[in-house]
Amino acid sequence: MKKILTILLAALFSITVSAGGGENPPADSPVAIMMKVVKDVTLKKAEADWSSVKIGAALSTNDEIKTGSQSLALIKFTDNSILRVRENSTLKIYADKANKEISKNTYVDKGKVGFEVKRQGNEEFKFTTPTMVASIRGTDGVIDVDGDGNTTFGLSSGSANIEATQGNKGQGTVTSGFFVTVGNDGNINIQPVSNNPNVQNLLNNNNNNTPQTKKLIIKTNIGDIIIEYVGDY
Amino acid sequence: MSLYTSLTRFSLILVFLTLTSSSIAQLSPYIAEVRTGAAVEGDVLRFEVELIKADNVNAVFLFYKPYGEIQFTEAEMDKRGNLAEYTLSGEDVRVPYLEYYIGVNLEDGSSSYYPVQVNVSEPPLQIAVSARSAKDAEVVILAPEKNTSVPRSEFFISVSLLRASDNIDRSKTKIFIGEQDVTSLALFADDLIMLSGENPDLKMDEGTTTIRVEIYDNSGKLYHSVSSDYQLISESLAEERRDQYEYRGDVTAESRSEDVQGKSTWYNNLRVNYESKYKIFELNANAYITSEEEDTRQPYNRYFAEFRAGNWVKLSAGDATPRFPSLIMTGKRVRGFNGILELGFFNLQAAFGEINRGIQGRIDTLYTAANSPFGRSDIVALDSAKYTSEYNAGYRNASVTFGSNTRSVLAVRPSFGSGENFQWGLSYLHSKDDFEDIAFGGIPQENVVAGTDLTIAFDEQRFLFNAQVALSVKNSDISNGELSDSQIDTLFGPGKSFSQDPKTIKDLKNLIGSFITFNQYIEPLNIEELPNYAAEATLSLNYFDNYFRGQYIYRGNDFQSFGNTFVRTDVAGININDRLRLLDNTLFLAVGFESLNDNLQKTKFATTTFNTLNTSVSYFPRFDFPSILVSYTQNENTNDATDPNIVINDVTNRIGTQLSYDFRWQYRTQVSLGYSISVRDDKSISDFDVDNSSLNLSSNTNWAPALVSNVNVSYNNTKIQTSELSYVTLTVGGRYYMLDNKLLVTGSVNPSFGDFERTALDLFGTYYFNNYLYAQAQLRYIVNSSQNSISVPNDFISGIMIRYNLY
Repeated sequence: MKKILTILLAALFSITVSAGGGENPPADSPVAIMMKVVKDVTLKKAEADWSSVKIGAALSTNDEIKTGSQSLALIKFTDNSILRVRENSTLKIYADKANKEISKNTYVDKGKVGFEVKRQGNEEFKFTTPTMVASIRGTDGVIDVDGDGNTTFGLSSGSANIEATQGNKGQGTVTSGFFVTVGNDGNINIQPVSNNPNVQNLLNNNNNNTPQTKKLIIKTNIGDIIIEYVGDY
Repeated sequence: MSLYTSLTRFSLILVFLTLTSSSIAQLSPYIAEVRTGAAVEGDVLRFEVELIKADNVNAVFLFYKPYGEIQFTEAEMDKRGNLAEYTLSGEDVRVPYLEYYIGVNLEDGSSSYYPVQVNVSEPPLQIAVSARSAKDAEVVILAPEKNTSVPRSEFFISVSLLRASDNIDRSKTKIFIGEQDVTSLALFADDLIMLSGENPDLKMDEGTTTIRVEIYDNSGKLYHSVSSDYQLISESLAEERRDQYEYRGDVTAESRSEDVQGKSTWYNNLRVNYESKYKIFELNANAYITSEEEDTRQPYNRYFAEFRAGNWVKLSAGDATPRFPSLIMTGKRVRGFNGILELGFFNLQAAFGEINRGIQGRIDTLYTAANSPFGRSDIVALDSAKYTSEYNAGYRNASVTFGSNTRSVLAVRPSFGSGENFQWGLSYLHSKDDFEDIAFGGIPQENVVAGTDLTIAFDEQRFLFNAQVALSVKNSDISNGELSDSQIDTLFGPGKSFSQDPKTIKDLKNLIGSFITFNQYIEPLNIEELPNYAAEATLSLNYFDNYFRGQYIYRGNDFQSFGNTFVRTDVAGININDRLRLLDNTLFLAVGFESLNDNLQKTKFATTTFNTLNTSVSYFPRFDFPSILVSYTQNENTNDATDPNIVINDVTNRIGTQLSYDFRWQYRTQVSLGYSISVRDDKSISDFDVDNSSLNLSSNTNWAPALVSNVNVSYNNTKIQTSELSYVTLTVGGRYYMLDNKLLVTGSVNPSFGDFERTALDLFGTYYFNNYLYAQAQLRYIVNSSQNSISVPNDFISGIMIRYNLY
């Protein structure tokens, strides 16, 4: 827990510094919207409890998102950048607006998140996980964090600078068609995507804004109960 | 005052008004109309050519020249019935304008153009290309996403003003769904504007709808407007689409009768399109079956099936036009297989198939020496050995339908790098004619092209360097196959026709013969003069709102690829263009210079230098003022001949103006004006001076949502030496929706006066039975005037089309 707190503070500090000390938006100032919600997606606002979230909900900095089994959340930032939060994932959004730019640092605690970046000027798009920080320069890719914080990060296009935050604190650059794994030892291992079918499959599915979902319809005497969930992918 | 003088004065007065023409009608015996969409920088641009006498048309070609390019690129259009279509890649749609003309290959082997005399005296057509606005980025419609289908339960609007200028008053922003102002229902929260689809006051109809967002500056003046289309669908339809297997398709059946110049032809066509998707996999297919398909012609039917897996794999079978580096293969229809594997760090593209169908030639009419017509390309002398009985009967010539050999092609290109910053490719093409006994066909040939290409880019491709080099080898007669070893022994060696060691020749044959048929008709490789080489290098710099592009090309006299037979050869030189964007992409200043020369291998009596200067000013204000494009082009062609009979020395000056204005004065109206004048001064002994001027004025008015009218007047005048040709075409038409928008009626009258006289009457009716099924009927009647005192029968075209959409 202490490690996570340290990383969160580092993430917050880095975004403040990288954005040139721009003013943080007010807590209720929206920085993103929820474009799609499938099955079990919950939101935690600052100083509030977890609650279910609906399509079209406005998201602000410090908001946390959690997806359950066979669930999905599609988040779009005000600069049109997209996060696709796959099942059993937890993340927290940090965003800093200044001079018509928005720098984002998404903390992925666990789970799988696909992204598409629409970067402009000095804006930054970073991902922080328990074991690394990735500064995105490219356009789209995926990030997968397991329960121990081990991170797999792959890119379809563009590049990203990777900095391990634990152990040996390795550094490197990932380019399109490659992925990196970063563990608690702080070593980074960059390989072609073709070496890992799981990453390849995640990248293939990343650009799908209308994910394949299934519906379970339970007919009752007071109406139908419809449960939508994400199929295998 | 003459008509010419009056119109010239009129055009000069209107020269500061406006034009963008999406539909151009000129007099052509084979083309009724050319339609294009609005040309926007970087967007694909679709061309539709409506044909008259389609039965006589063998193939239709679009010749286009994006701004800054050296030569016109030729692309075969997809001819389907009386319509030929081609979609131009967004890469070729560049500010400030695109030049084009249409070529038609006729059944008798001759060609026709549109504009009719573009190959002689008329300038090509020009489309103004408008630029994207930097202001587009200031308003982002986050939801609904552009061109997507949204079920009612998931509908909401979200607009981001994150990038909006400080001069914008966010509270004045207006949101429209269709023409309905829904601003009062929206919630404004800092940079975001949101409108819930659950709002009971929000009235929405299912179907495709446009959402429009207008932002205003602090003074209340409209600053910018963006729009986006989406489709609102029912829950049940959304439910169907949630199935893992998605598909859509349509079936179109058409029957049309043409009675043109006394000849009746009946066409029956069937077109099927199918698209399906399962997870990351896509399967698309289409087919076009027509009664025009005959073994004696190149294929008219089209078949295509494509499988895609994400952005990584694409495999297709059927008729396709694969795009390799331009010196290798582009714009050529291949019936066969295409495949692309894109991994980024390594990519592989391959195409294999047939680019020409083998067709037997035939004799159409026999002629004696006395009555044989002159000047026709389809007249050939009879071979007395092959056509003995006809020859003995006294016939010496015949008009024929030419045959052609089956020509197959294989092209492969492995490449390394995604192309975002770096890509290096290697290309190989092999094309060969089958040797068949084809009457009135060409000699079978074979071609090999090898090339390499390189792309280096950085700073988000603001710096971009492209280069390609290719080497071609052609064997101009493979009908007798390879030289045999015994033939080599007979021909080569001491005391024989050639003194070279026969073993060396055999070794050479074994080496070269694995790539191309080795015989005496193979073109020799000339390392010193490079006639078989082609190369080009282009550097683009896009900084400080200034786009610079410099290019050098070299194309040897004998360079030829069967994969792109449209490459201009025997030419070398430079092309430099500079384009400055000002006032938020609304004002463009462009200047370009090109200097080319031919005779690279000294195969001509003189070397000709072709110098072209292009300048243009274009203004696209987007609101409250006409768009204006003024261009000036000077072509100067000179050669170094001393013999006055072959001296080339001519200068052509051309000024073109296009203006367009979209305004609301009680009714929404789009007015457009185009005027061009071209003067060719030929100082050579032939004194082939040509003056051409053309004027086109059109207006569309939306009187009511259901009623739109259009009026178009065009004038064309051409003077060639002492002869003069001028005509005026008037178009008056409109469209009207009736029966609760189920029936659309479109009609027009097009009389032409002057040296060409013709009146065309058009009537279309479209009836929408439901969302899936509609039918269309067409009637066209053309009243022809007599030509050279010979009466020409009137033409009548009628047709019916039914389309069914599968969702």
